[in-house]
This record gives sequence, structure tokens and C-alpha cells, in this order.
Amino acid sequence: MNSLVQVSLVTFKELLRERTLHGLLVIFFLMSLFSLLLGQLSFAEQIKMSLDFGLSIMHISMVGLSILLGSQLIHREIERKTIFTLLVRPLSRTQYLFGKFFGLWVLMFFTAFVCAMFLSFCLLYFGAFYFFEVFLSAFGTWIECGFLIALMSLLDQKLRPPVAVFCGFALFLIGHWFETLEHFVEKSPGGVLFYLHQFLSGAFPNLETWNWRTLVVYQEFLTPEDFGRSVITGFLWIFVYLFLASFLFERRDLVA
Amino acid sequence: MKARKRVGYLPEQPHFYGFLSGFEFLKFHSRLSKKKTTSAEILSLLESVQLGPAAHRLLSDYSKGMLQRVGLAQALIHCPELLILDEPMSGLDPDGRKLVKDILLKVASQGVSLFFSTHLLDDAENLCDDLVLMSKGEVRYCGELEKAFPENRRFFQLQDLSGNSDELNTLNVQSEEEFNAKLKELVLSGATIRRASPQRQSLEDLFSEINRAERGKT
Repeated sequence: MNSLVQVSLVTFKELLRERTLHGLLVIFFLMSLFSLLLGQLSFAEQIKMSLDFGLSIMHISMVGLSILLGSQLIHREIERKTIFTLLVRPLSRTQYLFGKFFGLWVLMFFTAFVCAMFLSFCLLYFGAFYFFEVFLSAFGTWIECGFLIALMSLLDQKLRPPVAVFCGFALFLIGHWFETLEHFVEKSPGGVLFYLHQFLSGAFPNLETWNWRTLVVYQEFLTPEDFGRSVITGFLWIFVYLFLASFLFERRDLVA
Repeated sequence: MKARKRVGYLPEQPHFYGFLSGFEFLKFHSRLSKKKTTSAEILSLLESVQLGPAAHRLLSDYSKGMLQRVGLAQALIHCPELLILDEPMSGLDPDGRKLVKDILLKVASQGVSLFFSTHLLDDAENLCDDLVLMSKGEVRYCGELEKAFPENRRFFQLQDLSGNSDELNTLNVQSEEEFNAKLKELVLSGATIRRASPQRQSLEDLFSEINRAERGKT
């Protein structure tokens, strides 16, 4: 356990210096300010518009970070050969992979916190107190990021980073379009789409489960039961994908 | 896992986390090895590889020689019984090579077994008790270093017999008896002897010879 924590801490420290993180955070801050300006263009519901746009930007920034940084998590260590001096220590590959995962996921937690703080204070400047709503939405995005990092760790075992990033974004879109896919399946039953839907609904989560932005913006009610169920489902999906990734990583030839 | 606690490893051209200082790097490795190491012990290890003054500098600012030495320190941080090194002296300047060699000799004198690969046969000759010579993926010799050399290739050398330093004369004799007799004879005849020592073929010569012989066979 201690080794896992050590790997997480070093990964966290390493990723804090990532230019991708700095770049996307700058984009988020600028776009958040832009969302406030955008709200001013609206005659009514200025705050809701700013909130909706701000939360969407936060979601996109964090998802982008998870996919981009997640795709390099193990690959870069192998490429730079830094992994070899670590794996000769009494540290299993699974511990190492989990350590890398938690390092990035914790970083995403802090990123979500900073983004949510910034957005909440921006809205407060216009007299709207939306701290709870913004943080709830950020929490949902953070769980989704956890799943995406686990997914990228899995894709990283078999694909090169650019291909993994492409697949990651494609699966992210599919994950958010489950309901649309379901609608098409209902319209054309028995086709390839039906089997695709069957496969995806068994092997992939509906990413809309953790999308609480719409609920927050339109102040719809999220019951504690729904919240708890979504969180537990999220953690389960994360661990399933992480264990699959570690299963492949344990058998991977790192020298080839 | 238990076996890994007893092994230290340094890869060829080590790449380490550039954002950590030498001290942080060793602390990280000591924790991964599940060994409780105090800050004083880490600093003392860094001192022993002559990196004491650079302990708190980032690894990204270290030179190649310094990285090699901090790599050696990380391999030693958990007091291993076996140290596996891949080309530990390649790419180092003469001073760096000597330092690494001295460290390895010191570690070996403390009872740590060293296992390393090298293309620098001179280093192997200075450091090894046993060696495996490989060429084109095949083992050409495996055994004690001294036994690698055929008996008739060992000789005793007498140098500068005439005392004329412009022209260095060398006389080689095969056996110790012959050497003693010749030395006595030369001293009695008034010759100046600058050097008298047992010699043998170098490992590089032996390696080339083995390769030539193999080529001859094919």
C-alpha cells in the first residue's frame, strides 16, 4: 500500500508540471470569463447561461486532460525507461498501475476543485450563489474522469498514444450518446446497430450517469439514492477497467 | 517480491525523474524498497558517490556522470546482496570511470556480489573474479578470470636492460625459475633494470584471439 501511495505522490508531482494541464487550465479560466460575457448577451436567465456554459467548459477541459494525460501515463514511463528501475523494487505492476492512476485521479480532483472554485466566485461576482451546484457538477465530472483515466490505462496497453487518444474521445462520445443510440435501435431493430448497442451497454457505462450539469442548471432534483447509486456505479466501472488494464499490464512485454 | 528486496539494479543510460532532487529520488526508492532510511543515511550515501553538494539539485540538472552515480546510489539504497549493472561505465569520462570503479570495488569488498555487462574489457579485467565472454550471441568463455588465460601466455617481463632510456629493451621469460635466473645474471653483468614484473596477455587480446579462432573455424 505504501508503495502505491509513493508512486501516486510522485505521479502527482510529475503531472503538476505538465504543460497540457497548464494550457487547459488557462483555456478554462479564459472561457469561464467568456461565459460571463456570454451571459450578459442574454435578455433573461443570464446566470443560467453563464452557469451552463461554464460547467460545460469545465467538463470538456477535465475530460480532455484525463484523456490526454491518461494516454501517456504508462507509455511515457516505458519510452523514457524510468519504469525499469521502479519495477525491480518490491512493487508489482498492478500496484504501479494503480499508483499512476490514483496520482492522476487525485490531480483531477484538485483541478476540479480549482475550476469549481473559480467558476463559483465568477458567478458570485454577479450576485449568484451557486457553490453547491457547481461543486456537485464538478464531482460528477471527476467520477467520469476517473472512468476515462481507467479506460485510457486499458487502451494504453495495446495502442500507441495518438490512437488511444482518438479511441478515447470516440468512446467518450459514444458513452454520452447511449440514449440516441437506443433510439436508433428502437427504430431499426435486429440490425448491426442492435448488436452494437447490446455489446456497448454491457461493456461500457452510460457516461450521462454522472452528467449532473443539466440537473444543476435547471435546478432539477437529484435524490440522495440516485446520487449514491451513480457514485457506486462509477467506482465499480473504474475498478473493472483498472483490473482489466492491470491484467494486460502484468502480461505485457515491456522491452519489445 | 522477497528476492527483489535483495537485488539492486542500474540500467544502461539511466533515465530518472528530472523533477526530483537527488535526495528526493533516493528517498522515493528507499520507500519503494520498504526500507526505513533516515535522511542522514541518504545524505551519507550521496556523499559516498560524491554527490553530497548536489543532493538538493534537480536530477534534470545533473550531468551524465552524476546521473550514473545517483543511479548507483539508488541501486545501493536498500543494501542489496546482489548488484546488477548494465554497462555501468559506458559514456563516462576517465575520472567518472575511476570513481565508479572505486565505488564498485568498495561495494564488492563489503560482500555485495556484482554482476555487470560491459564492452570495456579493461574494466572487466580490473573488477571481475569470474567472467563470461560473449561474441555474436554465443558464450566463448565462462569461468574464472585468471583461468581464461592459457598458462603459456603468462610471462615475466624485464624492462630497460641496457639502461638506455631512448631505446626501451624488454625481455620476456616464461617461467618464474627462468625469470629468477635471468634477473640474477643481468644484475651480475651490471645491467640497469627499470622494471621486473609478472605479465600476462590482456583480456582484449584474448578476446580478439578467441574471435579470430572462431572465424578461422568457420
